[in-house]
Amino acid sequence: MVRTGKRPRLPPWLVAPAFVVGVLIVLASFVLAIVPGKIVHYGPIDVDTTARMVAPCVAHPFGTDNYGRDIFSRVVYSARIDLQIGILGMIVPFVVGGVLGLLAGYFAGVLDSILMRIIDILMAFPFTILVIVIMTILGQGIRNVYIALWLVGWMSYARLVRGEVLVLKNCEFIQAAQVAGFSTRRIIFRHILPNVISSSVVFAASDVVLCMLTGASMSFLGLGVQPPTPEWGAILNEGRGYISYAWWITFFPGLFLAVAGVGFSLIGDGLTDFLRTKGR
Amino acid sequence: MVQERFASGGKLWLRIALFACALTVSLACAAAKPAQQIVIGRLGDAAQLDPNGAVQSPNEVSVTQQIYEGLVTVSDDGKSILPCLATSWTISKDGLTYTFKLRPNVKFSDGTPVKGEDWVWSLIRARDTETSEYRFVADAIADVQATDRMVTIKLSHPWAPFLADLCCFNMVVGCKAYHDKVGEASYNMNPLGTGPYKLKEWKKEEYILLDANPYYYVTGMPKTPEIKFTVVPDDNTRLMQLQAGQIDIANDIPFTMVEPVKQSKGLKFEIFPSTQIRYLIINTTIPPFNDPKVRQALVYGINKKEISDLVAGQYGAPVSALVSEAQGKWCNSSLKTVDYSPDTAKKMLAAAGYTQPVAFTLSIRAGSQVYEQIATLLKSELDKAGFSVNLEQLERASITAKYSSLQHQATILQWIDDITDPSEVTGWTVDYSQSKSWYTGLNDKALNDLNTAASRELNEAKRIKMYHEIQKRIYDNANVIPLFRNDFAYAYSSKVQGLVVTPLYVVFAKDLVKNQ
Amino acid sequence: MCVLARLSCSRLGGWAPVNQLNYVIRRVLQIIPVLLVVSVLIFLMLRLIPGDPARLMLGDKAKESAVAALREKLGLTRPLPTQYVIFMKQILSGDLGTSLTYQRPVAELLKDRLPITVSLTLASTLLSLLASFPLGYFAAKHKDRAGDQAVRATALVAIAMPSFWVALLLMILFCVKLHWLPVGGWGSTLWEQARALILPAFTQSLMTTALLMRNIRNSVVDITVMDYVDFARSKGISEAAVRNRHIFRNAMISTVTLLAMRMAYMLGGSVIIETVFSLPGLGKLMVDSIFGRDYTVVQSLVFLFAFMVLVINLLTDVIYSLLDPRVSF
Repeated sequence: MVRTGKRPRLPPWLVAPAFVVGVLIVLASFVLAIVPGKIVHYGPIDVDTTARMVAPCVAHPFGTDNYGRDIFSRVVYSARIDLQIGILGMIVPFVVGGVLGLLAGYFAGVLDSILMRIIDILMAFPFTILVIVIMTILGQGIRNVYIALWLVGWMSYARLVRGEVLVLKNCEFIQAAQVAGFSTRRIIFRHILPNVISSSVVFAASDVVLCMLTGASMSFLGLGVQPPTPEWGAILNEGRGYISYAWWITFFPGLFLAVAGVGFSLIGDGLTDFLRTKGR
Repeated sequence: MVQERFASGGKLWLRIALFACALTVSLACAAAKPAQQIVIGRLGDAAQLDPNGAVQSPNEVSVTQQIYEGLVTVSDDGKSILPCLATSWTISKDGLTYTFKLRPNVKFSDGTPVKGEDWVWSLIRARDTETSEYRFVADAIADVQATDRMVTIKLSHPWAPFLADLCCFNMVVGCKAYHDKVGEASYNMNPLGTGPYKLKEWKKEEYILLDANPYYYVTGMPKTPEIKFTVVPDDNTRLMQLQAGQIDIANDIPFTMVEPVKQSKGLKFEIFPSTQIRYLIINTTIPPFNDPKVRQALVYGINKKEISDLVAGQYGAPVSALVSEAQGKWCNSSLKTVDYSPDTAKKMLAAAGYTQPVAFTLSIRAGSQVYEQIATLLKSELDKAGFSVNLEQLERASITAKYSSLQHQATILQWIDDITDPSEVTGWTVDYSQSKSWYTGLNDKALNDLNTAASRELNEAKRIKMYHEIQKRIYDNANVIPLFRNDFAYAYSSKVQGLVVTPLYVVFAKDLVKNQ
Repeated sequence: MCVLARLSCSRLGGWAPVNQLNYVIRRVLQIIPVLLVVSVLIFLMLRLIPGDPARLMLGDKAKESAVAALREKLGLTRPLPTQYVIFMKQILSGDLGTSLTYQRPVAELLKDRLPITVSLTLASTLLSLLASFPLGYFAAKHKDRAGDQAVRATALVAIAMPSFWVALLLMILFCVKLHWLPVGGWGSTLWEQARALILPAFTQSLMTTALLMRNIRNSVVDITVMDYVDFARSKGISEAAVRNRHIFRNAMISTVTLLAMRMAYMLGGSVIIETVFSLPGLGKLMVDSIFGRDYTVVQSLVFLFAFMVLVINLLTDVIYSLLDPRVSF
């Protein structure tokens, strides 16, 4: 493949400070998620009716809410819940959808038809409405947020992987392997999988963001985590009633949600570039 | 051509100046006149505009109250009954016959005179519409006879609250001929009443526009020719629209918004005494609250003062009687609120044999700041008092299904009276067949019988004692635990005057005036 | 590696108008069983959710006898298969049914709400297109330099920001503090409506602009390295001609796909925006109907939406084939 345009002078991974920033952000989020207690002074659900609606100050850097709960503490503790929602909500569809797409793409035929029909049916529902209906059936709670995300999220990966497998199947080295008599399992997992997984991985990074935002939206509508559990979307929703004069309750969780999302997206972008310049 | 124009330029300027003066003067005059239209922003749109229709939330009732009128109406403070379309009335000694003298020459807003058959049809309809949940106010009616000057109502048994019931928003007069002409479905959407306003335009989910009834029998009323009810579902947006002058009155203002309203220029905030009370509803049919001792310990674990302060602030107070204080003599004010005492609660539980914290789930409706605030506080208070509370937020349909089938352990509900009589709330609370005793499952026949007797007792002093007794028994049962009462909060433009809200959540728009 | 293969191997068979027609007919016929399954699924799913529309309509003071009478009146006491058959018969004859909650024909509700959601979607799409094409091309041309990084960083932030957060912050700034725009709601005149659309369309377009921009940038970068562009350049065609004829045409394929997906998402996912800005659109109707257990409205609207999505998918594939002659049936 002939390249045109400017050739980067440094190796790809050093030319991308953005990727590094993304990794740092995500690492910081993990720190917040794993050891929140070390960072905050107050508990996330400690009610203190003497310190209600306090603006950001030294004692309460992000202010307090209507119950006197420290917003900084609540926002930090939310990291755990939101990261869980983002990552767990992505992982299961990634694996299940990926495997389904792999099998459907390779074996084609009936398996492929059934899978594509199921995906067509599910994709015909409006995404948000489908999640809301599932959550309404299952009930509130974080566990059901996962289930809803899993039920809806696997389709994208299945389609992505299947598409790539269909293309790859016709390539010479795969046909050569088939002719050479390699076992199907070996072909699928040793030859096809490594080549099709990259687009899924890239999508996964943005999917984490999508899962976190969907979880936050559900909380915003009143369907997500149960009170008084802190979650960025839930705190945002709590702050809606005070937005004219207690902007901090709405501002900070939204900010953290955005920054976390940016971190994961930067990683996804960095991976895209990395894979692109590596050659395919 | 051009020179001609310049030559007459002087005259032109003079004409312009005169015109500008005239314009300014007329504008100033117009500015001094009150506004033609007042805009009221509220949570949702009306589903239909028939007082006997199935759906009767404040969204419907606040509009139909401007269009329809009944024999009598309630005073501004909600305490007395005043004549409306009836000028006077007599009640027979046995309390079974009510005779009303009608105001002459009352017309519907299309000019049709009100006839006797309209009264008969309307009152029987109020009683017999199966899908109306307010038909109970007309339940005692056995027969209605009416001429154009008089209405005679015969009851099937003595019914003390009947006059109060006649003030209810569904006991109004509608035009039978009109209903028969347009059919039920159209009648629901195109109301025809005798009230100060009539329906001019209804853009669904956006606004309802009412304009003045040209045949209204009181001259000079309504004071403002047009009232527009707009739909603004989001609290923040409603407040911002009020601040921006897009709406003049904002219904349903949460207490959390009191501060920004007070700080805004050109806005007024007013509270009106109300019959609104929040209750903790306990399911007595399943553990742990099937044990009355646990329920009684629960009462000591609730800090009603903290809840009232936080949720309603200065606009509310803790209460312990089932009936609202705004109902005056009917409220049993001797029932005291116990102080928050977590240790007492723990001792009571231990004495009843509970060594571990008593766990239960408090299910509340999602999307309500008030319910969430109450629940959060209850949890933090009860967790220190020997209980272990799990909060569960369900969206409206799910929670309704849950408590109406008695699958909940505890939930939080609210009540606003519709009549100036305690019988509505006591009836609801003790009637197992219609409300499963307000979803507590406590089927107490003796209490139900007492309530029925109280509603038929015509001697007021005896009646008061009976209602006080009913409230005491509910207090002892601790199945329906009143938490606090809160006033109605309205925010409106300081140009608006004449806003009155009765404790029954009735607002009459005919007195509203907006100065420019 | 197999970039060319990716584009051409996704369809099998030769390219001929007859084949294309066959394909379209086959796809149209495939829509029918999918729609059938969708209708059964949504019918059952709705009834799986706990909650009774009659009780909800009657509100807090719903008496048992009134609830029973209303259920009867609304036809909810009939056996499920009967209710399903009635639903399908109505839909197939073009009658979308009567809303349980509003007691009005669903078609009327749709007529009131659809223009708002469609205007919002179109406005957002327009804004996205206007912003993403120049930005994407600009980023690709300045690949890996400051310009590219800046645009991509902005796009990232746009994707990660929760829409309701952005909406609320924008509303405070432009409506409350500056009084430039009306605070939510939908106007009665065209001018008022246009003003009411500005903030919601902008908020909704952010995600799409960012996604589209990245897609365009990547496509342009990809295609810039392709052989045939070199070949064209070597033939002496001017830079502008290269750009116009080849790059945009091919970038449009994946862009069209992405755009179709986003439009479908916006039509069905505008709930949050409509709630915050008080726009009486379809998204809010759907969610309110789910919460209000208004079976008729949700069933009919989901069915309509599914039909629309399937049609959009079909159209996308057809456009696909028209844009890229190498894609064959």
